[in-house]
Amino acid sequence: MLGLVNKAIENFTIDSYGDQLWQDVVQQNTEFEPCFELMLKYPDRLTFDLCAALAAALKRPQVDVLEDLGTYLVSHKNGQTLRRLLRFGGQSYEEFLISLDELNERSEIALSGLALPALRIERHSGALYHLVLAQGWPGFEAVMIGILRALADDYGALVWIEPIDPLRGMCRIEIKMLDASFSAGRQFTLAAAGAAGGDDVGL
Amino acid sequence: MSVFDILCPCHAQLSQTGHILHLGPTLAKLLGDTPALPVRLLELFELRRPHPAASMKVLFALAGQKLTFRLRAAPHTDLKAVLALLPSGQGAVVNFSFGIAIQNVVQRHSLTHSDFAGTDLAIEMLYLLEAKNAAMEASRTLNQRLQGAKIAAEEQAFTDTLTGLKNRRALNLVLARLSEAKAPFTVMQLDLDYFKAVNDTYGHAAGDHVLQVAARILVEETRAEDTVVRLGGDEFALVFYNVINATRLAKLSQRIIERLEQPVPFQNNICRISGSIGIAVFDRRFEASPEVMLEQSDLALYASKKAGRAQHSFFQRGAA
Repeated sequence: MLGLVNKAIENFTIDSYGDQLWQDVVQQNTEFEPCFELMLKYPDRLTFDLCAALAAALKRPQVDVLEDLGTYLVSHKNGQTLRRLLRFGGQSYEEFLISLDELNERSEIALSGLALPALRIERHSGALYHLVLAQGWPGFEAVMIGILRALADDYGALVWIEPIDPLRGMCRIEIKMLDASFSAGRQFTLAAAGAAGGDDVGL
Repeated sequence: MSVFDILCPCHAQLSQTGHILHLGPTLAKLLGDTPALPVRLLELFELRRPHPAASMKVLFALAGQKLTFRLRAAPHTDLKAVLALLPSGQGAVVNFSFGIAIQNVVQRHSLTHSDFAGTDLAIEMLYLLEAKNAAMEASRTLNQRLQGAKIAAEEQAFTDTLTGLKNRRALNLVLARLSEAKAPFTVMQLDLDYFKAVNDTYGHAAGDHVLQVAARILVEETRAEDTVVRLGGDEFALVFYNVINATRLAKLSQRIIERLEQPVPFQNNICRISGSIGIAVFDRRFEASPEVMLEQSDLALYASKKAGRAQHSFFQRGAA
């Protein structure tokens, strides 16, 4: 697992719950590092253990914590890079959903070695989509739900997003479009002025 | 929407006289206040590459070639273009794009997804640029952190990496500690003789090997509680704790020099060196500081060299 993923968990924990909680999590396992290195490779198991340790420290179900992580990655002011890269997927939330078919290639070109679990989008109608994910990273579907929900807000779309029963060994997320232009959403300019872009920050 | 507006939204259709008959939606956006048509293309854009053109005739002759225009009005954006003639004198079509400066142009003119044709790779290019910048930023941060860690590690090191001996920083610490202890000790400085010749004749690898052999000799000839330091280059310093007996120090010096003079084979060559030694012995009557004793041993070393090298000398008060 690329250190970027562990770093994301680290930043999420510190930004959401403070330094002390992160220290508590790190002390649960000698393999955890207080400061993960973005570009180094770590064993996959370490990341899964880290998620479990964080959920235990927060005394919350792991899926809830991971969904919050997904939301954080897109909506927190420290996560603007990912938000912007995802918004290049399309001008509307529907275009973005369809662009998820390319997410594996897009992520690999942005950061080779990230090796996201394979995923694809199924369009059942203009209002009903299924995101289908391979089960490489336990809990990844919960992170994706958080990301999809936060991006719906970002685009100003009103959507219903829930996990549904796995099929043929693949996790599935159902996305129902209720109103594509429910709110103004957040501005997105193609060319960012600074690191966080000329986009307005905050919802 | 015309076919051209969908396929190449940043185009202009020209009459045979070079007047713009139609602007693609993206090109219209670039121009800001849409000019009243028809207007001459060259009134709005200056042709810069491959060469300036004042007339449409000259421009039409460049059909099919790579062109660079500049917007005459602010913000004077540069645009790549290609011009294609329509059949039987019906004018021409010019299609524009942004080239490598795309990020600036897109920002300056607030372009969005819908300003590009569905097949245009511009959005992917912008995506890549941001992904690249983010990765570069991450790697720059890492490099800065590593650089900082390296400097800190070097500053903290007390070991000479080539020989494994202590370094000058360690010597300063040892001398400071001795100064506080007020116990008798001796400082010896040693320069290798003819070392430069070995380096120059047989190369740096041979020189490094000789330094390592010399270091081993010095360690073997001293006790664990003594300090052996490589000051740099072929210069060494030794500190003997609780040893001030001149006879013993003289014998030790002779033995070190003898051992240094043993030929050192390196690859197919035999390296020969010797050593000059200067000794400063702690003298209770004067209570010289360790720094002063280092200077005294240096003076004695100079005397040994002056007297013909391959020998030792004691610092004599009043002799320097």
